[in-house]
Amino acid sequence: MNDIAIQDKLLAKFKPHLESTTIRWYLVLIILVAIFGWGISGLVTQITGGHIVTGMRDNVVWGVYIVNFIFFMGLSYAGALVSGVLHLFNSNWRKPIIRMAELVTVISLIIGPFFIFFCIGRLDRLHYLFIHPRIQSPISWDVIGITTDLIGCFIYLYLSFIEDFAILRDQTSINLPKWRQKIYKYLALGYTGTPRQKKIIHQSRSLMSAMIIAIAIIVYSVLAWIFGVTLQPGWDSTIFGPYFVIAAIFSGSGLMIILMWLFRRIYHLEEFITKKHFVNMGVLLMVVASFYGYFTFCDYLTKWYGSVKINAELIDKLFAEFNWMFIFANYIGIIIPIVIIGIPQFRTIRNISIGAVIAVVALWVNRYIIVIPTLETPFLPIQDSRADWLSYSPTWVEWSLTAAGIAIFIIMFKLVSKFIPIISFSEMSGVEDRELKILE
Amino acid sequence: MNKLMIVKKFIIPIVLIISGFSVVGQEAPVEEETVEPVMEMTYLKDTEGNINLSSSMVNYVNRMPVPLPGLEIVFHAGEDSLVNLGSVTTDEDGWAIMELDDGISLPVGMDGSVRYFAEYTGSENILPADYEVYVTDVNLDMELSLVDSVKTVSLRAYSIIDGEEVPVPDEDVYVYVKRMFKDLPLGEDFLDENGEYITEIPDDIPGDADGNIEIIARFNDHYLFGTVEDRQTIQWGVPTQYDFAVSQRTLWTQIAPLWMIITLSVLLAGVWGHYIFVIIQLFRLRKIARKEESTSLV
Amino acid sequence: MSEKEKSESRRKFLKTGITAGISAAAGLTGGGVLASKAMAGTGKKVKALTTDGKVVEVDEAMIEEKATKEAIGRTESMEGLPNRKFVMVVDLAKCKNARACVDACQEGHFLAKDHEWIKIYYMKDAPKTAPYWFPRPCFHCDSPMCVSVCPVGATYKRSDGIVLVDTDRCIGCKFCMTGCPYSARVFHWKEPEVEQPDVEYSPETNVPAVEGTVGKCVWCADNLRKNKLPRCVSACPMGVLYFGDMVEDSVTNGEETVRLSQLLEDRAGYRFKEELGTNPGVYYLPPSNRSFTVESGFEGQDEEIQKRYEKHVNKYKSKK
Repeated sequence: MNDIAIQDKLLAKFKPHLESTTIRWYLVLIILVAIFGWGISGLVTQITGGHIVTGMRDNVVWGVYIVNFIFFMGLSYAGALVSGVLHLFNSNWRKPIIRMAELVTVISLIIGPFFIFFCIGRLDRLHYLFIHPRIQSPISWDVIGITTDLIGCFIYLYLSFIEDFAILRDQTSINLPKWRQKIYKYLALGYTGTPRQKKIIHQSRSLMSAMIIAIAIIVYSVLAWIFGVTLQPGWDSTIFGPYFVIAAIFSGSGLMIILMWLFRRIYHLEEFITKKHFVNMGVLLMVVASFYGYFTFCDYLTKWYGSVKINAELIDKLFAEFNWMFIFANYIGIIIPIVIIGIPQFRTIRNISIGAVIAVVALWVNRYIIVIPTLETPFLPIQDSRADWLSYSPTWVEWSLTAAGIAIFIIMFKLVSKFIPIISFSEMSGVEDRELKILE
Repeated sequence: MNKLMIVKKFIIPIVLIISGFSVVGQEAPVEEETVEPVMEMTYLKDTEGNINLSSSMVNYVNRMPVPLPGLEIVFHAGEDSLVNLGSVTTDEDGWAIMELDDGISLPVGMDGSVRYFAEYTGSENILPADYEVYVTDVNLDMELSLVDSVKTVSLRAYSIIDGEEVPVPDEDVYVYVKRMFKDLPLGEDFLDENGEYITEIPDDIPGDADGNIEIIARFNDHYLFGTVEDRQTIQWGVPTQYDFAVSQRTLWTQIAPLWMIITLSVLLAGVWGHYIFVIIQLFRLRKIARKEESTSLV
Repeated sequence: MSEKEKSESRRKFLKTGITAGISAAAGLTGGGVLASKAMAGTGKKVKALTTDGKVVEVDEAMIEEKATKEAIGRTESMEGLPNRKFVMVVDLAKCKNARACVDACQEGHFLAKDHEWIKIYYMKDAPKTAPYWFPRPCFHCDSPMCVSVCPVGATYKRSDGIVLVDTDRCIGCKFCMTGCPYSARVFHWKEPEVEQPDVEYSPETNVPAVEGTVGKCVWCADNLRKNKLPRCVSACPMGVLYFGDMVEDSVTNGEETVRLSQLLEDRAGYRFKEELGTNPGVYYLPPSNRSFTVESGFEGQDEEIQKRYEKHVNKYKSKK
């Protein structure tokens, strides 16, 4: 099938979605907005009542918000990995899924920092992070890093949109309102597919993909060092930088599989996103799961074997109070994906997707058991009479904001996929050194 | 009878109304209960020979002392015939310090002591209080000298009876060096039969930047003499210079370590440099398109 | 009037004005100026905090000017007292959980009852060692982790050793709380329950408190400027807490003054968790030769306080 034909097919496939919206789409949107509204009410409660409405107290000062922050930042690895690395390897099978990947990156990089904001006691002083920074602090590194990462990923995303905007600007098969046509025209930067233009875009994309990979690794390591540089038991681990990066790649690939499955279903993209994609991503998932399992085992083995008291206390707590979470995150979350993808008989699209869901949830639980048990076992024992000061339990405010974060994630995806197709036309058609013909 | 009626009918209501106004006029409620103050007085004869009477007024609330400021304390000396020494109002710490003029004549009792008496006459909600001390006057002289290059402190205590110096034997006297909060004791002993006491002080006492230290000889709240001091500053200490160089480059100081600044700058410059390059490329893209559009139109 | 009586009445006049709550150390010379100020009061009374930490009622007019001159702001609080390096020594052999230090600190800084800057722990290091009471103020470390991790410079260490928190700068990220290995910092999770005085904020007192910011023991830096001991040191009935200046090698607990080097040598002073490398400014003297039982620390305490230690008392008992 030649390139123009592929393009025509894609245009035809996405025509109904780009032209009009179904009632179902609106219904889902309303439900999501309602969830988002619940989260806002939680936020208002927190702002008016103070942070006492959350489960955080003097020892466990970081709770579900920070877990969500790390989790969402980890999801952004989908873009860095799938899009960036595979671009450098120039593999063809990545083409249908890179747009999803890049979108995930940008969206989760936007949502993630909001969870930090919820954790901050004085929201009216957020700008101090920019006007009074102390560069010795890992949080300052994080602020700089995330800002850089977000802008870089945004530029990268935009670069991949340009050609598609040009196609959408020029095509006539889909009826689009005038205002949308105008936007496409403006954002396409007058791209007409000349060799020079192609070269510029290709060069920039290669450059940015290399940058993205490097920045993503740096940013996530910096995030890991927020914990790693402290003296707290469990966090004072040299392995944290690479460990977090591997966990992020793991969650990123897991999310990619889930998104592939979702969009394949919604837009009926069976032709473009095939079993091969699932198996390839699945293999990636399996490999990363093994690495992740290896790192986890290293971390806990060395802690358990040594006799340092505070580490022993932490391990005891993990196997007692956090028992089921530990098993889910570090056994089930690792073994099931490996088994599903490792054994050929289990390798179906549905199974791989289920494996990915388990992996992603297990990673959220993993972040939880990294952050909270350490804070519950400080060097000086917590001697308090109140139960909520002795151990942490999230309140409805925190859950509502978590749900709102997930809701806004999905909402943003829905909105973007309405504006621009979820599979990159230009990428799929792979037009090389040929001018784009104005389609009749 | 008539006068009583006037008091009852007019003055009391007026007083009540005025006090009522004062209550209304204030922002916060006034404490209505009567306060039972605890008064103490100490006698101090300082290094210049001046007598200071320090009286403190506190009120114990929940076992914590709360100072009472603004109260007028009247000081007297003497037993049967009181000599008025003056009055002082307590400051915000509850202390009223009366400094007696040099050469004031004080009535001396039979045993050679002077009775000092401080009194607070009371007010509407504060009960009166008083305190007395009996103090025998004594002089304390301190001499600092280097004896065989040993830092020696020589003390001599004497009282003046009929114009003659009579040594004061067998009373305990202390030697201190002045420190920031409380004085550090260097020596303590009973005066010998000549009313003298000699002690050495160590060589390693930290002083100020020049090595000055203030040595104090003192009768410490003595049962007869009260507190009597003689102070002298001398360059017998070790000079000190504490230099916590705040401008050091560490993790916890204002200025970051150099390697951090350099690494961060290099990384940021590198990354953002690339970003700017790409953005410039995008602008170039637009320019090219416009040029090609105009050429194609021609 | 005699010369003396004239000077006395002037002094009395001055002192009357001063007792409206302003520190005499401000160096007032114009008694006449003060008098006119006293007369021209607005009549409106407000609660004010004197620099000694007492709440008095003053005419509003007197507060405005004085408060702005008096409050030690951020820049000034970053300068330590010259040629001083403060140090504290805690004598574990004398502590029996009287908690007078906790009460004095909370009162002096307008803290709620559950907001403790100095905490008393019930510690038992090993199965066979004896339990003891462990008062833990902020250690004012020489290599403070909390200062290193603060992203906005809200906490800083000054030349005389004191680590302060500026809650005007604090954004409440709580990184310093995870940075401190001794759990010395507390957070204002809600509006302060205790009424805060209406004064200008000073990092040396952390009063008035701000919701959503971090607080901690400041070694009563406001008292130190007036050569007064921190409140906990003065309040302790057992003389457990010694405070002083390392440069002049002298510490005192209010009653007893000793040379720091001598005390540490004679009583084998040590620092808590020295191996963490934070270089704390607080030294501990081991709990040897105690003249009371550790259980006497539970007597007479509120049930809530006794309940706090229950879990650990039982845990230690079971680990024989």
